[in-house]
Amino acid sequence: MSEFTLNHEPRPWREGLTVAALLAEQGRAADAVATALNGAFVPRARRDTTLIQPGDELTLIQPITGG
Amino acid sequence: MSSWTLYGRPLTSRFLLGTAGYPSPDILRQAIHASGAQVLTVGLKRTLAAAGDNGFVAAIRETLKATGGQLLPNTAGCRTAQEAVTLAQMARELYDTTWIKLEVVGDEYTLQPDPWELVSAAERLVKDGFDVFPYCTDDLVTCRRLLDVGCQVLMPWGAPIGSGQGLLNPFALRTLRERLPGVPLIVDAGIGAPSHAAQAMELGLEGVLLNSAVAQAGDPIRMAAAFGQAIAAGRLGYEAGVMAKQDMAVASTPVGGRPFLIP
Repeated sequence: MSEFTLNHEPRPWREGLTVAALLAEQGRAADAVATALNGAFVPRARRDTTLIQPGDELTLIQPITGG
Repeated sequence: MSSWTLYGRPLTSRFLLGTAGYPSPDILRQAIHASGAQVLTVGLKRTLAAAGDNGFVAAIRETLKATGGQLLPNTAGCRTAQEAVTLAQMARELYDTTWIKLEVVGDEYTLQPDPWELVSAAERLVKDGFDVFPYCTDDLVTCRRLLDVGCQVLMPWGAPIGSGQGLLNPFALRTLRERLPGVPLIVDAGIGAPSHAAQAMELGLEGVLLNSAVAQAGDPIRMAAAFGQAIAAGRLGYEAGVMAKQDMAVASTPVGGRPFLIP
């Protein structure tokens, strides 16, 4: 079975899966996280049209405290 | 204390406060108020669980809403220019600000910034419309290169991050001040005690950014207030003009000769 990784964890891949669809499946509000695919930023406006491919690395980032 | 500006934003406080490592969101909230800081640093992390951060980020946002302050997201943890650029772009979207504290570490032991990757990332981010606050060493030539690529603010270290050692090289910071007149210089990292912050301000630097010294204090709220006062005092002292040092004693009381002649 083909896979991609979500924050380094393997996930099953399926045809036509977009970044936006994955976030919806995860139950995450669109403005709660930022996304990058294979190390490149994916803006909110492009999540609907950005397809995840087998072997891709998707990164979700959320706000935290910092110095 | 005189006002100043960072990327066109007028500020009165010269204290920039980090938000990590506080015992509770409420203590963080109170420490921010006690500090008087108008700029707060925040971070980013990978997320898998839907669990939040126990209310810390919400506390920061609420406090800023009340004070009208400004967020300064960082790129902590990045080792290359590409990583830093991507994380900065994500931060801009998440925090809705063009301000970015640019960190690109080149050594794991000292967390010393990598000057080559730092300049490369800064150049790309400036071209992309960011207001870049580079965390850098006190190396004059690196600082010049950062200015060359469009940075309008520099944040040289006082000592390694979280070390609390104070200003390890006041000479280098004084040299930066003299050689880069008019450039806002903010000491970032290594400050441990309020006296360290006052010393930086007396050297003529424009601001101080610190986190651990407040967050790890026995009483973070009172320590935030102490730093706020030390930074203000140091700046006022600089503006007032610190007297020149002399090797020998110089009598401060004007006496005409000896007051008594006792045989």
